[in-house]
Amino acid sequence: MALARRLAWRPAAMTLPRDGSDARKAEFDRIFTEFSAPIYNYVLRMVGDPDRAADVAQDTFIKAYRKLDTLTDASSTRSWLYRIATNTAIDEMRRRRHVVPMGDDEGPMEQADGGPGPETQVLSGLMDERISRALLRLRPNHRQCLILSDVEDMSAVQIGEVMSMSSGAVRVLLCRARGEMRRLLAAEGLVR
Amino acid sequence: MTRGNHVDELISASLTGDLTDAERVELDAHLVRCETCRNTLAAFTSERRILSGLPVAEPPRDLSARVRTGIETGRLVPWWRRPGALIAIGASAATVAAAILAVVVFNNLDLRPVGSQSGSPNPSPSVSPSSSAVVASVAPSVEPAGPTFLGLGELGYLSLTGAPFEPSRLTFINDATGASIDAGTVTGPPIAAALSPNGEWLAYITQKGESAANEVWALHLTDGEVVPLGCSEAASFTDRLAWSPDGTYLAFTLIAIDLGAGSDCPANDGDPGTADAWVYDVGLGERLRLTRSGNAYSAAFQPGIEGATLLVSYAAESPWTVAVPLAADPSDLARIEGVFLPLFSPDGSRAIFWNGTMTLNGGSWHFSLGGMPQLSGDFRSAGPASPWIGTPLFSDLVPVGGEAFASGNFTWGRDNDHLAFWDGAWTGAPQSADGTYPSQTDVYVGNMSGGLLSSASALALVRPSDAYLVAVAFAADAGAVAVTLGLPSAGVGDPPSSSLQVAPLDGGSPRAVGGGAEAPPWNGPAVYGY
Repeated sequence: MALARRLAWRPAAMTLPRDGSDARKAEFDRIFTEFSAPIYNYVLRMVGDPDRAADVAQDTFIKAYRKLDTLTDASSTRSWLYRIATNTAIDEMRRRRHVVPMGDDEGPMEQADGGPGPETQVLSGLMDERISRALLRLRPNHRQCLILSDVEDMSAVQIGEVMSMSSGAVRVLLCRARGEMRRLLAAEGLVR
Repeated sequence: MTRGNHVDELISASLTGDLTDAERVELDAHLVRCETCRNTLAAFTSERRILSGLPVAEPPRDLSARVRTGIETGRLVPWWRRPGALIAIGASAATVAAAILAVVVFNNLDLRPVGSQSGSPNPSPSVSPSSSAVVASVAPSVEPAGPTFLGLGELGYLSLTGAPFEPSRLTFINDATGASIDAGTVTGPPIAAALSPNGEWLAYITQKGESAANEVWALHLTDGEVVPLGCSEAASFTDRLAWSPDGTYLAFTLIAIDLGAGSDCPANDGDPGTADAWVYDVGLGERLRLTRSGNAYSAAFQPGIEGATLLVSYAAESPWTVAVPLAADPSDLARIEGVFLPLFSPDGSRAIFWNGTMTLNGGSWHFSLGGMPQLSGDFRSAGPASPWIGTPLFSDLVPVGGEAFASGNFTWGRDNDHLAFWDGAWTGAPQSADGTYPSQTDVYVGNMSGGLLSSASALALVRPSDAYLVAVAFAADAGAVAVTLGLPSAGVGDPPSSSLQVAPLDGGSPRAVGGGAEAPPWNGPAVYGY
């Protein structure tokens, strides 16, 4: 699903540091222009908070620029970039498990599985509250493969490239994620 | 796998075209005769339709600028800048008095000394271009971008001038060249200063009028920009200004204080009386409160490792310290028991730290039993003993009945050998025949190779008997120390005055800095270019 095409706003082209070659700059500029919106939306659904998503997206593209030399096949740009974004988002969620505001004795600590906590409240302004609540209650790897499949429209093979799994393992994981999501959406009255 | 699970997997895979022809035939045949599976297909299809129809959010309009900045500076978003990312270690404000009820959220409690961990200090023996032979083991990770205000070995000092009952003007002066930078007006004298390793910034603390509060500032030595960083209760252990080795971050401690409207204090949402570690990111121009425990103190950045790692100390009956990486995953925070406010030698091979039992008294933390500065072991040693098992800095002091130092200050020479201790508040009986040792008004200077500190380490200074110690800094070659001595006020409203002296360690006479007939009333603290 080409998310960027559904946006009225187009990200501005970047002016990169002088130390890169023209070809490197052009390649990264192309990647950023094409993927900044999809990556932002992907990590937004992963971490559930616009500010955190912006940080993760920012880190994703900085890492991508640093690792641009490892992208040897332009046709795999998408899975390569989503893999970076996925790892960055997972790192962010992992950190989130370990850091909470100090001295906040009244609120419970965020659940170890990354949701729902305050994320739900934030996402509610961007998507249906019930869907967001269900999505954020999923385990992170379930959430991840479900987003890659149903939002990003990736095949099992493509998801496997992003998640470093075999397509067979993705199929199993995806089935479990769908079953869990079905249960959560049913609890929200959205599916039977 | 059960039959039901297998069919569910086929149903799931069918939605994304991931079935083989044989699987498609198998699934179609099964769906004809299984209502449950048809319901599953309908539910999965609905769920997929719901997710694919999620609204699309626009990325932040500054995303490209942020990425560009990150690429140019080579920095990712530090975890502590992220929403909610305040480290959750230590006691909450409500439980500080009850001491060590820690809200431990890291799941891998690592009690190894910081120095023995992966990425621990491994000082480079190389000589940086800006270092002389005497600081050969110092290897700054970032070189100054251009000429700095203070050259190698040059002394700079803050100077305060003003008439009674008027705001005072603060100036930073290069003693070698006479050049000066205006730091604006302040309401009290400077009491601490620290030059960033790249020579671009001077951090300093000034007293805030008669309010019993201090203010923390950063002065950009290139363009004269003055950045107010916060107000703090004036209390022990809050005058540590810690720069990261690359000069990117300044860490400091603020004890929240409510000075009312018009105080000009930058925002601090901490409850009054709570101590927390703060960080100023000079590249982004942002200051952030790093902790919310109410008992946390910024100690020092760890030299010699990649990335900025700040040691934060927690005051409690049994204090402890954690090493917090500012730009990496902070999940594996090492808790170093019994160590408070460590200060690393420039090469990171050793540290001086406090050890003892602390008490919250009069709203601020002090050592109540056995408080003693300690010298760590060598972090480069591969031996089994923890480097954090220290040696008392004073070889001839014997705490009797637990009475020892309540507080004090220490610093390192850049030769990684010399060290100094001053303003030590000794709570026990004097331990010299004349009753003057240890003295809060003496500076004790020694070195590791010479057996640390003793009564013979007291520095000879020229001073009135009622002068008090403000700050001490080693010269770049560790051959002298610059001592700022506060002088008693001459009367209500009189500007504060001080004496800044450079005392050679070879026994020579101290030299007054900023003296002369028109001497400003307050000179110091001093720093040296390195």
